[in-house]
Amino acid sequence: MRLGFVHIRVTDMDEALSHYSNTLGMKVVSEESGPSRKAYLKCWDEYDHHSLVLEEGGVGLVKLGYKCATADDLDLFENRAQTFGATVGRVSKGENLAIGDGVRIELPSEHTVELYNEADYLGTDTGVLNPDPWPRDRRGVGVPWIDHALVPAEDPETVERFFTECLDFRASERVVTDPANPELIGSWMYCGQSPHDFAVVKGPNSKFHHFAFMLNDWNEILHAGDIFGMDEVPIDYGPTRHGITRGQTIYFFDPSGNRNEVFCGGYRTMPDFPTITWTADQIGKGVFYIQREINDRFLTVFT
Amino acid sequence: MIHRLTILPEEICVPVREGETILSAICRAGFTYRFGCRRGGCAVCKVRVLAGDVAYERPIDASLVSEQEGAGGIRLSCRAVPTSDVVIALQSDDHLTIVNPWVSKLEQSFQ
Repeated sequence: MRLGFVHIRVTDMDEALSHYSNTLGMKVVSEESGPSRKAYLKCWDEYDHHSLVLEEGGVGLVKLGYKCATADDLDLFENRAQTFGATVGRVSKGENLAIGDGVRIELPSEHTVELYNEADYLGTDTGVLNPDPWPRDRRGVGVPWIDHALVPAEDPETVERFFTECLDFRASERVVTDPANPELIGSWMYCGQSPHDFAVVKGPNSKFHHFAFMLNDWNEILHAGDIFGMDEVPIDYGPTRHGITRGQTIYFFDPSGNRNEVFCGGYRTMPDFPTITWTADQIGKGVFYIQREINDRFLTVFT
Repeated sequence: MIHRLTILPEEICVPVREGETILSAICRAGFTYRFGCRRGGCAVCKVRVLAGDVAYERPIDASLVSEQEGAGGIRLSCRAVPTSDVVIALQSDDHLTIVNPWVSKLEQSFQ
């Protein structure tokens, strides 16, 4: 399984398209007009139809799409989610443009996750026959992939347990109040080999913290920062290193106030990866390793 | 046209350029205060407009300011553009901080 698409709301579609297309370098693959204006975008190295859906009106998260390997997986995860007690429904092919049949799950945190296993294939911008390392018409930051999403939840422990028991995710890192009597504050969870594909921290239900784009290295993070300077993109924090995940980062905001991240690095995870624990008093170092303190926006700004 | 923006409780006065938001005017004058996304999405930068008129020139998420708050003068300072001289109060647990004393000293001469 992997994060396949992020569907968010934006207050102004034209500004959002400029941000995700010109500044970040995604490609607009489809647009829908009408009462609910929508746009579908993909990164240059992604081969499925889209990885980002923008919907005009409001801000925040509509849903996260995770792509599974097989239709049998959908049945399995659907059964487990029902047993868990989550609200579960079926999604028919075409309900989401270019996405196949799926399973819709309402998380205990009032977020919507949709699982699917088929999407229209568009191919990467460099193709699969003797490909160049990157496309010459790459724009702006030139993001190659989306990477992960983080949501707040009043009860992060139940959300973590849902992803563990129902979807076979594992926690790479956890923040707890006190290891002797742990109350979970945040969990970073993986389903592939990256440090995290989903994360949850204590906060308001149904709100959105951020989704991230993958970059290759620290130099690309700096290059992204330069582009953000040129385009007057509001920065939340960075560039810096995370203690948690060991990755490197800049957090920034899209023109509607949704938080984005460019993320690179971090370790590899395996099914037997030992979970790392952080204590709440070290959260500053965990989030922003070099500065060792959280700014006043990181745990208060949600959309 | 330049409007005068007065920020309580400090009674600091800063100039506002045509089309400039409250947040932008305060920051350009060398001060900072508590704000979040700066793009009308998170509502961390709410202020109370006590006198004068402001307008939103770009869309915000309407759910962020309740009808009652709006009637009481609450606006998102990152999107609210003064259209006259304006007096605002920051949130009761917030205050102005000088981050660029070179500019903030100059701006005081505006008073």
